[in-house]
Amino acid sequence: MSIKSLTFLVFVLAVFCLYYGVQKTKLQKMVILAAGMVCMASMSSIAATAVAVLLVLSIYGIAIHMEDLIGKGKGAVSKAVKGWLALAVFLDIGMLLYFKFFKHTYVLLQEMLAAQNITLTRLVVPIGLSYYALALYGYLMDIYHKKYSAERDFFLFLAYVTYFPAIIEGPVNLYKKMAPQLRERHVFDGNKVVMGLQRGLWGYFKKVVIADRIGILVMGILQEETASGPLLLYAMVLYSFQIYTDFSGGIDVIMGISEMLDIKLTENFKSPLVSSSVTEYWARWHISLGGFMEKYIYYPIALNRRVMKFSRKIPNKYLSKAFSSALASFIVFIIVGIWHGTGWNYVVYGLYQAFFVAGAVLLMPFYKKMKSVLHINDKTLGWKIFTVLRTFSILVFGRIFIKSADLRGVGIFFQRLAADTSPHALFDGSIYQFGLDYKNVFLMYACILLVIAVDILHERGVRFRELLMQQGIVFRYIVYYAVIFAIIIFGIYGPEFHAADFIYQAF
Amino acid sequence: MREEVLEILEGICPDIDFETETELIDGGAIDSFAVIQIMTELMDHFNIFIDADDIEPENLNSLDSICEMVRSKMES
Repeated sequence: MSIKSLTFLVFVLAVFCLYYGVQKTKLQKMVILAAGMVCMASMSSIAATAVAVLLVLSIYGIAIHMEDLIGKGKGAVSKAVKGWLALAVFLDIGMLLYFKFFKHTYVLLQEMLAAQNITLTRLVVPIGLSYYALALYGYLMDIYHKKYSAERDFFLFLAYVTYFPAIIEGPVNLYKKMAPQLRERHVFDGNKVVMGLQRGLWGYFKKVVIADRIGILVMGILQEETASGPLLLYAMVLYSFQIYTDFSGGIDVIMGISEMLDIKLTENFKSPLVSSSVTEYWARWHISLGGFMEKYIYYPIALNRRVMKFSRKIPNKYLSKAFSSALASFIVFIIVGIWHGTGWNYVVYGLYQAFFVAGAVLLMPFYKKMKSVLHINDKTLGWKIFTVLRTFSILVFGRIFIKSADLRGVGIFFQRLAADTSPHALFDGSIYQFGLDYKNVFLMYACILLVIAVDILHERGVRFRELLMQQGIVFRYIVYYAVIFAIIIFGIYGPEFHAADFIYQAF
Repeated sequence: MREEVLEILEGICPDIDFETETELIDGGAIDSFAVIQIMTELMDHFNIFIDADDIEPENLNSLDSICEMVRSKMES
């Protein structure tokens, strides 16, 4: 079941009717749980779902046991608590790492056993593991630090972890925000349902009309072995818009469904296209992942006693203050790189981001001095546009690392990029040879401009859905029908009326 | 003590009005780098230790909540 399939829409409608039909808190929670199980089983497999449930059960049990031990006192108990915590983290992160890095060992085992005529089932990654493995880690740390009580209701805990819209491509939902909402009774609110539908429609529009359309051209150019220079750069610029509309479109669908169910998730995007530095970009892009990294990796490293002791020894006063933050940023971005995929190219991708984020921290006094010496007024629109374009360019180059299959591929890409400097191919009609004719390319440009305009207006405080709700019913319905028909007419659909998979679903 | 905390905060983030701001973290007024700088200064100045798990919005959203956290650390 794909999120863009008609089956998924019927599934969501059924969940919606059951959810508001049962009216009781306990039953609503069970509807969410059942939806999570069905969604997980159909998007990965029953065996993968069973593995995920076993992981959740282990974490659930260990957290309660840890809490009971903590309640008993100190001394020998604290050692036991640490032991259980280590075991739970090993199971949780170990499973994530296994599926990311060591899947091939299962294939080897399969082949070895096949020789003995023993058949093993195909290994399928439980969908959403990359997201809830992090959420479970955060939960364990919070129980260890006594931030809140361990969850005693297993069904609620399982419903939280496998919350069906979020297992598809996030966001990373932290227990503290999510679990209380599953304990509440949700009454049908027409306004919220309409707002949710609006957001979902915008999400589908971004995915099937914009992202999948850009995707055809990007794939066409990148697969063309003779493509080089500006044409490749053009494809990477487009890819940046593709990944943004694909990921944020999916998140809009997930947020829209959640709003319809009266469940509020953490926002994952805040107009990332207007970021004026890489640091700011990471505060606006995939916010739930950034928030998790900040809380559970960055602060523990930056405020670690040993790290701080070391940083105090640095003779330069500013560097002494900035060192722990820079070190924490470096480690966070290496983890972010690895989280995005296996292979050294992802590690280098993390290092590339870390270079700009940690560099901004370490060189802040230098940047300030340069601005003063060069008489740069950073409040002007010109400077803002320059910094936004600079950040966008840095990110475009960074994505070469994740778009290539491995480091060798990255090297070849840069070679091809430098092989030709003539922009001729961009203007001689060559770009219409990669699957999109000039009408489609024109529509793609118009859509990209629309996305940029929406980001800028959002940043300026315009709330489109609230504005729309203030309009008359005729106008509202004209807008709804226009978007629905745009999705149907201009959407890119593959065989069996399925659009392409979401890029972030693979993570 | 309030005046000393305010002086530290204004020294690191001179553009923020700490007397009125109540969503320093939730509203995104201070970033993670500024948080670390503030915590380091508070630790050095008041001779206290602040752990990573103290970095919660409810402890850092306003001048008053920061003072309250420093006070509880000094007492513990």
